[in-house]
Amino acid sequence: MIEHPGSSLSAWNVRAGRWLHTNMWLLAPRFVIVLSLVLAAMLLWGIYDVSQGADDSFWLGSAFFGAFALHAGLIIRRQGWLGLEAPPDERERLVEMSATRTAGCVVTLLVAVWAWLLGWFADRGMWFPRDPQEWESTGKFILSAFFLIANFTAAWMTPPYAAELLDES
Amino acid sequence: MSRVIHNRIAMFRADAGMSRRELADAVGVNPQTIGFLERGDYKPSLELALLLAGVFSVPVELLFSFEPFPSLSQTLQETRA
Repeated sequence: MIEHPGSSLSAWNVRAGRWLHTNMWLLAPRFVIVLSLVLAAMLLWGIYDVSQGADDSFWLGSAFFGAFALHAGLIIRRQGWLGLEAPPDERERLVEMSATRTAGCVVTLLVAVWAWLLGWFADRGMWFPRDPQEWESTGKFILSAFFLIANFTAAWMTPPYAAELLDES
Repeated sequence: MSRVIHNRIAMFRADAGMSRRELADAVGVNPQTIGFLERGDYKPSLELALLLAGVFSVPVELLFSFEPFPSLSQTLQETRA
């Protein structure tokens, strides 16, 4: 059994992980990009729903659950916690850090601007969260936006795994 | 720091008869990362640069340089001159 440098994973496990990375369409970069955009559309529709008085928007709840599940799935796979892939190397860690930083900056900026304009919205009779249910929905929206932007950015920066190996297969 | 770092990883890899996958396994990175390095899209850490030089048993400055490496034809011409 050949040991993968820096981990106790066997070569077979590493190969299996590569196969999954290439073929597991659910977590492939292009699919993550499309899924993130679909979930973002659902999220926007959901917050619009809430602004129109819906107590518990199906779209917002589904988008929140989807974004959370996608983020958790990607973290588990990237970190190699299933034992199917080697832990991320230095470039992959850099991609993750860049994506997380981008998402953090974008969401913080948007929340800051929104909080700044909250009084202005209220003065003009525009929607802003009033009761606990609406604040909960707003929190879900912000957290989901963070997950989706982070996943979208990381996927955008990651080419399909097989692309590097096509000339060698 | 935005200086371009040139490298000869692809040349040494071909010379050693290694695939990207084999080189990636030897230094413990994803084969995609070898592709990024060869294209100059990613600058390696000192640790990875030393590991790569170790695989080919050459000093790290033979593998990486701030100056572009001369082409094979240029080297041949200089040798003949």
